Amino acid sequence: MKKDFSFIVYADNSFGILNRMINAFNRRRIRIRTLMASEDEHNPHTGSAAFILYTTEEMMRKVKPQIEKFIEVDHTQVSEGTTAFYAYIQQLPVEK
Amino acid sequence: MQQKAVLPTKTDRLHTEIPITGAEAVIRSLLAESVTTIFGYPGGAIMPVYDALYHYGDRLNHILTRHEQGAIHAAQGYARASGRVGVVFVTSGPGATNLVTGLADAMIDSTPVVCITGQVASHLLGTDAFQETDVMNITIPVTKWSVQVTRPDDIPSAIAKAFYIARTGRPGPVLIDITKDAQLQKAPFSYVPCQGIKTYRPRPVLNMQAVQAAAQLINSSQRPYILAGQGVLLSGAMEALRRLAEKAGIPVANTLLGLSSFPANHPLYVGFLGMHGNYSTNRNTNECDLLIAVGMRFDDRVTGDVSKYARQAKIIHIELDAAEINKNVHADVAIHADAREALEALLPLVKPNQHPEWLESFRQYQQEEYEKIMSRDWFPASGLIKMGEVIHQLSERTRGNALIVTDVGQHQMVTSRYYAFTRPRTHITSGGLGTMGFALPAAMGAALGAPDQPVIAIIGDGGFQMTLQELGTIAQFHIPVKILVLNNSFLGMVRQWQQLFHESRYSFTEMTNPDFVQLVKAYGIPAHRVTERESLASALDAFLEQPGPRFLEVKVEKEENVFPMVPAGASVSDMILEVKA
Repeated sequence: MKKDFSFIVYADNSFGILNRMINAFNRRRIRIRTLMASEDEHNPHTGSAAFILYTTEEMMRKVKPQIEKFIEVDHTQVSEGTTAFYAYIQQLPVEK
Repeated sequence: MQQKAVLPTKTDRLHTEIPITGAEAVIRSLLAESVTTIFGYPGGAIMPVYDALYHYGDRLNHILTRHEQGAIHAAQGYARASGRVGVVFVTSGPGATNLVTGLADAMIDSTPVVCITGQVASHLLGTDAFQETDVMNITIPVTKWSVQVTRPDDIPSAIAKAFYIARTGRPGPVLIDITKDAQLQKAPFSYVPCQGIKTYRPRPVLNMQAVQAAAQLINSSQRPYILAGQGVLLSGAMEALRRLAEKAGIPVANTLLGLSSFPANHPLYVGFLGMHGNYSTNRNTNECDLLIAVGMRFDDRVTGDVSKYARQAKIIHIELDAAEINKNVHADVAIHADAREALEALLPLVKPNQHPEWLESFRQYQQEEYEKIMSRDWFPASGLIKMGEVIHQLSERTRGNALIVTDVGQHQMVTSRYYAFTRPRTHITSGGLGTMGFALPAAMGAALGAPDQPVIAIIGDGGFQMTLQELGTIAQFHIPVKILVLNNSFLGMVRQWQQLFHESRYSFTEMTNPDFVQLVKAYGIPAHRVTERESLASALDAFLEQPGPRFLEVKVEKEENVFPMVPAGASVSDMILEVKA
């Protein structure tokens, strides 16, 4: 059964890494409902991307290591529902 | 006229004062990585690198292929035969896009190659300039890593990282796109080999609990069965595999890419797996009580209908790539590790054992396959020459010792079934992607990567015509490749499927071919043709004995089918030995 998952990826902030992530989801026809990507405010060489993905638990289990094996990816977090995604958003710095 | 792969120039610039151009930094970085051979094709955006290369004629061999696809397949063959990283130079735009098939092939078959592409000057990026293409985004899905370099200072570190990534962990292709201004500008040069990357952990820590759990399963199993894939070859686990199999008396089968990781003449070797693999190896997958999968990924060509695959068995999966574990088949015990490390850790925990009855069940299936298929393929009484007898005779004549490179199709499956590989790393093919046109350029690279070994490219008439322009490369550089074309004037495997599953509607699979012998001779390569069974043995002898490149065309039966076969979507238990008329 398909449902929402929050998927957060912590990675080096290099050209192309976001494309690699999106390609991995597109290739498995995983629907990206929301996407937020951000550079680390203290270290512009690293960053993170958070997704709300609409897919099955099995698909999530399979795609997670495929993302984690990208060279620039440090680690990922996955959780059911959208709560973790919005908690992530709230932690981002707000430009004044 | 034959030409060497080196220019008559001497390296006299290694100690010139820094800064140096980015182009020269490329060359010096490659030398620092002990590169000796480059496959490539020059063009506008890579010309500074080629100009720098000109000054290192005595240090670097450059093989000018006839197409960029040929360059990357040659680099793949070189890498697979030598165990080193293959290197490719091409220009921007079409030069870069012509790499895509080879990149995808290297990605799926875990082949370490570093491709350096020229790019338009950085101020022209995104402007649709002449020969500009977004090679980064085009190649992201088919590379292990890629980077675009726009400053000469970044070139050495990019190349160091590229080599490290390409050869460590599960190997794969890497692309470095260098803008022309970065090649022309100067910067200080120093080369520091890459020792690690913070976010990249290519060698996982071995989980000894998993190893112990695996040993328990092996020790209590009555019908254990090892499936050995390419991970065995990549990690150098051949000896550990043999010792484990012998100690615990476990039969071993190979996947397509795992062929040559276990000697075919070993009493525990039971054959080749998959859609056109052996009868016993497939049938007993659904009879064993324990599957020990080593360095393989349960490709759909191996599993058939995965919902009916080895349901009765416990499964141990030893695999370096975490993303492959539990992807297609659930593992009861997963060992995320380098195959050699895992097998060596497993060995002392496994008890000596024998499984004669279980082994006998393989022999019974083998006997059935021999009577119904092999004996007819190897020793046909009449009719045109069959692919099976050619490969069987080739295997006998070379004693399974040649380095064999196959293309894709019927001849590939027949070779995998009937060539008895006895030495590791002597089988190179396009497995995952199934790239027709792979064999001829890959064999060139293999011959350069393993210069002491006889290299034989076995190709169908369809695949041969996809990259036959590389005959020019073979002739120019006098690369000693033996080219064996099995000509049935059909796209044979597609025709077989049309016959079996589309009521013999041969939709665009018959080919009207040129005179291959005349064509090859036009390149200056000695060429012969065999049409009669009586001449086959002597033709093969002459083909193998003569030094240098040689071509032999064997006209084979047009509508021969490769059996046995697991029909698409069927279970491995449903493998068929023949189709009743």
